[in-house]
Amino acid sequence: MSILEGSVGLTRHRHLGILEGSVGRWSLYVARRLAGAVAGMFGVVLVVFVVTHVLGDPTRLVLGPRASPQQVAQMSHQLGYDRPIVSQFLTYLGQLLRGNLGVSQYTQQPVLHDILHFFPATLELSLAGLLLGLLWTLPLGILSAVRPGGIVDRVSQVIVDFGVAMPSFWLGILLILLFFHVLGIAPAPVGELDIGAVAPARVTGMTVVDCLIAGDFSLFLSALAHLALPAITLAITACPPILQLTRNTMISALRSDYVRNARSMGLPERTTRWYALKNAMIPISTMTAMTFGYLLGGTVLVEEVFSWPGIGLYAVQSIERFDYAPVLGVVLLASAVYVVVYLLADLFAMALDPRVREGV
Amino acid sequence: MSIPSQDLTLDAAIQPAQALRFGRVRRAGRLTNVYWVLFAIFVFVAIFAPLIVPYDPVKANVAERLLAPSWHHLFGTDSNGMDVFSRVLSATRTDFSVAIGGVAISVLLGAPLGAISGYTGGLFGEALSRVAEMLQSIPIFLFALMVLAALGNSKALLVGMIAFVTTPVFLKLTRSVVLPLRSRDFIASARCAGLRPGAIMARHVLPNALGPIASQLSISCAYAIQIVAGLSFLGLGVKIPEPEWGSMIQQGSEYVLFGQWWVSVFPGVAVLLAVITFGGLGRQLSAWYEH
Repeated sequence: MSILEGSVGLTRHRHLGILEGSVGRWSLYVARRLAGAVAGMFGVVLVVFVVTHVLGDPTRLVLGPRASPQQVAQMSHQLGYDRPIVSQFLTYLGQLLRGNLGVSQYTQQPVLHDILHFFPATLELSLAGLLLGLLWTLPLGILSAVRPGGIVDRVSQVIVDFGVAMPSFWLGILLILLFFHVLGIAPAPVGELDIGAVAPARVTGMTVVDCLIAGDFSLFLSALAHLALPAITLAITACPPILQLTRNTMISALRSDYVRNARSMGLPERTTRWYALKNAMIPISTMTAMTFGYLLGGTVLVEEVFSWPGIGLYAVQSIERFDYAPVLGVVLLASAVYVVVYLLADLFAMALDPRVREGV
Repeated sequence: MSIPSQDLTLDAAIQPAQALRFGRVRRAGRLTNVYWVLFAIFVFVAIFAPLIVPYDPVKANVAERLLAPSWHHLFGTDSNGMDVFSRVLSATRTDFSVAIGGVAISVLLGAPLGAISGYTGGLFGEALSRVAEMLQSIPIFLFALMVLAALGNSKALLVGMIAFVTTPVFLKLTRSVVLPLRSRDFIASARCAGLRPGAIMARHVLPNALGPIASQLSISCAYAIQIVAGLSFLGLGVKIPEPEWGSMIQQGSEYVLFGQWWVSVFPGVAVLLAVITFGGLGRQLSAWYEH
């Protein structure tokens, strides 16, 4: 939607005669989107601050629910929570800007350090889920659009309905039941590797990749096997919107004037479909990026089912230990990642659109 | 579950109210009746569950732990020996009340705000819409964990989370319907007739948004049920042993490894059916107002 808003904004400026040439327009757009992303992130920080410092008691977050009133009062003074709320907010903002997300009571490490440690596992899982998701949603979406109402379209509609309606954690449990318990071909849901397996030397933090770098092929296969079920779970439950969008944009592209024109000039269906697909790719890539952004903060349920050591599981386990600083850090990081991914997707979509690129 | 976007062109001002009759909905698709029947069953169970369940849903019975489904226990028993069938039925009330309650709050907040945002337009309207977008970039499950840490665990937290996620949806939806109406003749004539902005909004603007809102209401309920189940799965909001689908799935998940599947599978089927029901109703409502 913001693509549309962006281009509306551009036309407006053109009418005002403010800008000439594509370069100026481009940088204006980029500047606007960047400013929007920064403002969005500021809003997220504000919401987090209000929930934890205004509605809730921040000393509780540090000390946990079992602290005595004296401890709370002392800590409150020590951390400056008896100061005016605005100055507290500025302090908080200043800490965030310096990358200070607090210290985990449990690991005794800075939260940022912990998050960077756990994030690659979430990234790996999200990427794998998205990749598998694209593998089935794109072809089915295109095939559905070729014959709307046909057998492929109807079957994929049913799959979409069920995929969207299924709770991801429940599907994960069903897959474990089928592939681990009944068929015995999947490993136990104990994380990235078998219990007791020696992890490869940490390079990227993504175990599958690290196994390859270490050159341990059997460990690589084991890591892939552990990745398979959680990734399939995400591919089925999080990716159906991509199918839906692919189908709908392809249908309208195939009905467009340029495709009819190409067809009437005797071009084969293969070619006209390719033309349509090229144009449909812009919204599809935006949707894919949004799904990816969603996954990075939304895999927590699947991580919980498969004991996948990502940031979601880190947040859940921190809560169970009454260790609250990590949870705040994870929320901020996941929101920031979403904002950045969405920003990049928007810019990428603009770059793909020749009307914008060439300043028509 | 895509959100209906800007292309909502409807004109309820001209459309006769008779078009709202259910008869047309049924003709819109073949499976139409199924969703209404399912919905009626869910509502019936939510209201009358205490009268129809065969066992007390929160009564532990150590002698009957993890029994497989049988005629005595249709869905088996869980690790506390509680009857899964009774618990699945009783949970309907918990899940529906939290989901519908949260969505109701978000309509009451989001629709007026969206109408104001769309009708006044300008910088303020734009700002409201941007705030809604910003809120949508916060990952809900992680955010809920944070709120739980800051404010404590309660069922009100669940309701609040649902309202938090869905209010921006209603704000943006209502705005998208209202925005193109501003320049329409019937609004201009109402303004000429000397109606105050509040009255114009209530009598002439908001009724146009009712169709899309009704459809989104149902779709949001579907989404809300998934979130409630997901949050409870993480241990938020509902305290064991209160029956709730997500927490039941969580409770049974460790036994699935040993093949004792019924504790997790049946509540999941209930979530699936509830979500499909609300989603289907939402699609039909949108097909009906687009007619």
